[in-house]
Amino acid sequence: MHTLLAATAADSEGFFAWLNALFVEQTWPRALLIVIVVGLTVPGLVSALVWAERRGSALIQDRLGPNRCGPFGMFQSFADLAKFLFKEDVIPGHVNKPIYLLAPAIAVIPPLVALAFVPFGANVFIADVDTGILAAFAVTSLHVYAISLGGWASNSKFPLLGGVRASAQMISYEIALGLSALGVFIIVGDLRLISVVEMQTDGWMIGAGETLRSAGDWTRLFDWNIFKQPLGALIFMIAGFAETNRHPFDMPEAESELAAGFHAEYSSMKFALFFLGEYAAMVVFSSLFVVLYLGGWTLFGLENVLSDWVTSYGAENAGWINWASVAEGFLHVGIFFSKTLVLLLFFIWVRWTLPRFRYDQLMRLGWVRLLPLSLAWLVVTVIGVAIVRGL
Amino acid sequence: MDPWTFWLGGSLALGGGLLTVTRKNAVASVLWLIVAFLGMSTLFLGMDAGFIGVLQILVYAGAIMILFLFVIMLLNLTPSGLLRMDRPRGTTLGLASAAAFIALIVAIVTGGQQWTGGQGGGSEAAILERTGEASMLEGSVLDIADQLFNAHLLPFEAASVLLLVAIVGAVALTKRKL
Amino acid sequence: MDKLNLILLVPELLAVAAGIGVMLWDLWLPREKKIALSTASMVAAVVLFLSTFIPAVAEGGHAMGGTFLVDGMALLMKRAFAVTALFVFLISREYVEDLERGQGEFYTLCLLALSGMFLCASVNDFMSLFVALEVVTVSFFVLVAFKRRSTKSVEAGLKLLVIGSVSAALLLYGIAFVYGATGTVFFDELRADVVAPDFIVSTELVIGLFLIFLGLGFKTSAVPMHVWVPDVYEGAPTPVTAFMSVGSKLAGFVLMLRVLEVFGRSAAIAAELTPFLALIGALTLFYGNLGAIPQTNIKRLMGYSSIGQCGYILLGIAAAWTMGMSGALFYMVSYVFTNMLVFGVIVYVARATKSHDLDDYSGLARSNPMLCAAMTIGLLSLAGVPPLMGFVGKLLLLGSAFGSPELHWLVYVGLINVVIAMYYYLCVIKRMWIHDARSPAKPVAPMRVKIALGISVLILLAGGFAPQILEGLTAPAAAELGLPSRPR
Repeated sequence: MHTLLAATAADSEGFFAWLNALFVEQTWPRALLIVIVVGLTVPGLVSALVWAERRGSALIQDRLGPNRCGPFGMFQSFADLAKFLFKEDVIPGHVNKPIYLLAPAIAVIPPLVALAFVPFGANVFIADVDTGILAAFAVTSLHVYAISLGGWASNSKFPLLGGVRASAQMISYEIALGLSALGVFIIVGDLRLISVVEMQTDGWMIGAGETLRSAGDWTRLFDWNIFKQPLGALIFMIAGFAETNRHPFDMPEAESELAAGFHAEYSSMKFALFFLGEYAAMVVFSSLFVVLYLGGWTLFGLENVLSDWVTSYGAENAGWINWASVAEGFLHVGIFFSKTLVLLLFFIWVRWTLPRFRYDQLMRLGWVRLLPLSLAWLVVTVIGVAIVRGL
Repeated sequence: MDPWTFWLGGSLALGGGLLTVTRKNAVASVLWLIVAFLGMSTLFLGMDAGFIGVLQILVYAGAIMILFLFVIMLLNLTPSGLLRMDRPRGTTLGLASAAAFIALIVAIVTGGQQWTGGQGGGSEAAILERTGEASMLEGSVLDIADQLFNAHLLPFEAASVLLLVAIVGAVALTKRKL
Repeated sequence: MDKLNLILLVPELLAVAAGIGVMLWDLWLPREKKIALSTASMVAAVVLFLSTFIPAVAEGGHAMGGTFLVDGMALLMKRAFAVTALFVFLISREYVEDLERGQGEFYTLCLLALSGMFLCASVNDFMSLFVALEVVTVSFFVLVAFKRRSTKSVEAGLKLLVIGSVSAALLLYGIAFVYGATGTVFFDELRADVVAPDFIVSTELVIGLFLIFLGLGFKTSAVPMHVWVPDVYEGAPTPVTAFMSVGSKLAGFVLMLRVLEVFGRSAAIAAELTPFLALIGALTLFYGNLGAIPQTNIKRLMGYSSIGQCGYILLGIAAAWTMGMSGALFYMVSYVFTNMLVFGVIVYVARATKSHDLDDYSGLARSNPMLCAAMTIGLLSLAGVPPLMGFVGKLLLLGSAFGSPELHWLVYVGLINVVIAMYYYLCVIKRMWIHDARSPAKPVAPMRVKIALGISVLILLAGGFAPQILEGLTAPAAAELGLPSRPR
């Protein structure tokens, strides 16, 4: 399906087939467009999120928050950005310079690359690889190096503690994260994220096929994996909070104990990159959660309304653009980002509501509670799937 | 495999490996080792073994090397602390064994005696069919699962005993109170 | 490649279950009752021994889609491993009782190592071979370093770990070469391949096999990979040394025999392997036996002796025909009883004197004549003195090498080494019987160990006077292996 927004690497031969498609099979303009769109959207989204976080925290704490720059202080983030860009770039004398400079870059790259594996719509994705979620996890797992190395290279006590904490915490929760997501893939029988989304329209939970229900039938809500995998989703969510170093698991930063933790020695734009990396990781994690548990771009069948409407006017192939696909693409992406945004606001809500864990509590939760729980849930899932599929 | 992929992955893997063993700073070694793993992963991806390529990053670069880094950071190994181990005898031995292994590979590559069997169970056709089959699997997840749970079920299950031994052993050796 | 046939795996599964069972039971046992774990492990070893006699298991065959093979050699060796473990549990009871921590883990690791050894006896593809070997190796990494407070023990564990990793890398490298040369890791397919009339022995196959034998040589303490042996034997807790010197070593040997059995069917491959193995065997013999002479620590001495004994078995493996296989199996079985007899005495002497100096054995004849007699018989059997089992084993191995003319030199090497070995074993015996005691300590062994030692002595004598009983077991097992029944 050649649409304006589709980079088709659908023949599922992995990343290199995609690269091949990108540079050899002349599909690169489409892919490049998506790459550019995603690459620009994420920083924009991040600045919006920072504003939302500050206003939200103010709301929760009964304060005003930023309110000077533009309406409701909306342009505060841009003012901050300008400040970051023009401030003096201090490199303390005691740091390990190459690694100190490398760390902020590592903070941003993995989350942005990970978005390459996320399907935003049925035809809007950068790479459809058959290792899907594993590829995304593999890339995001590199994010921790930014924090560990930044902490280590800063060569002072608090950042080092932050870095050490980060590496231990990431390792601990990555296991629970992977194991909890496994349940979804046992149900789907495929690691491809597109299959995961498509499977969430099968009507299995209420024993009905898709054809039986009209678009907009709210019972389709129960097709979402969050209803098939409630515990898995919960563990995935908790582990995801820990993986993104968000409250209540922001031990690497923990300003009340470690000053600013791993980024205490960073200033100006390098600090901003860490900041960007953290929020981009949140976006990635929320997108993955939407794909795995919240039905991705689907919305009770409403996701096809627009393209059906275009088709009904016979306008789907006006000129060289397939307008039906364009309409579908925009609606899918819109639905997807709305869901993601809800989750991101949830992140913010949690941050300003829950107190931080103590470090030993964090480790205990990861190893003693979440790990066995996710294993047990895996067993339950396997048995359940075996029963449903008739062994 | 695309020659570009090969040269990219190969030079990353070899260059990273070489820098890993020559760096004085342990953290730098770890970073170069990660680069080497990324190179390996590139090679696997280039061979259409996507699953193994991704696992290479997920398991080695993403998990194991982080533990290395963790330990190095905890021990706070300084370059001077490592220098003491850097004895010329070790270098000579290392270079000698490296030379021996390179000689081994050269001997095999230039050995000239290629497999040219004929009929029967050990025929060239049979062998090619076997290896061809393996390379056609393309390392997709389902094919690997099929191999693990059918042909290689025994080592797969035995590996669980191995892991159990490793876990029990690690706890028995390190935990202060049992 | 079809049937799961799990019934054949009953001994392995039971061993794993016993290991896990002991581990779990340990959780509920109060400190003062932990000794029950020792009894449980002994019972488990006996049950495992008996489990190899279950008719369905004893019948043999393939399982797990052809990656698991039970034949005469596998059964024989599994029984030998179970007996070894039983001995280890018998002599380790007091040692483990004194441990302030990790009693349950000790037995768990021993039983899991035993399951790995069982698996080694039965593997039928390279993947399983590697994993099974690693189960044994990793268990011993931990068991060797089990005395965490003792620097020597930890150092020994570290040495074993480093050299073990190198050898595992060699082994894998070799396996990769063999896979590259043949396109398969399954022994059944390889067995068919190598006897194909037009099979060409490629360079990578031969180099791969050399590397595999080097990697396995780590376990069997063959010469280029032997460097860890004396230090690790000295540093490890004595019951672990006993287990390692027999169980782990024989696991390596049974794998060597298996690989040889698969590839040795082809005369062309055997012609490449024989000189290589013969060279290793000769070096191992000289290294072990000459190195043993200046030793003043009994465990180090046993370490060098163990290297030397490895050389004899390599003689039979190098010969690569049925008699060599039979001799190797005979020697391995006799080695179980011989070495366990010696280590049984060492454990209880060391318990009394708190050291492992050779001087401790001066005057043992007066302080505990029974232990002294047992030790003497064990050492004489190791040396290969005629009426004992060790003599018959050496005779078979040397005889098998004598069969092929190009190995005659190896027979002379073997004979020279018998004389060298005789010297240092007799030095210990002389010390025990003639010298005066240096320390007032009086070694005592508990009744169960006395019985075990007594039975071993009887078996050593019986094996010497009526070798046909054991040969009746080893010869058919060796004949089953499919190697030529005449020397090449």
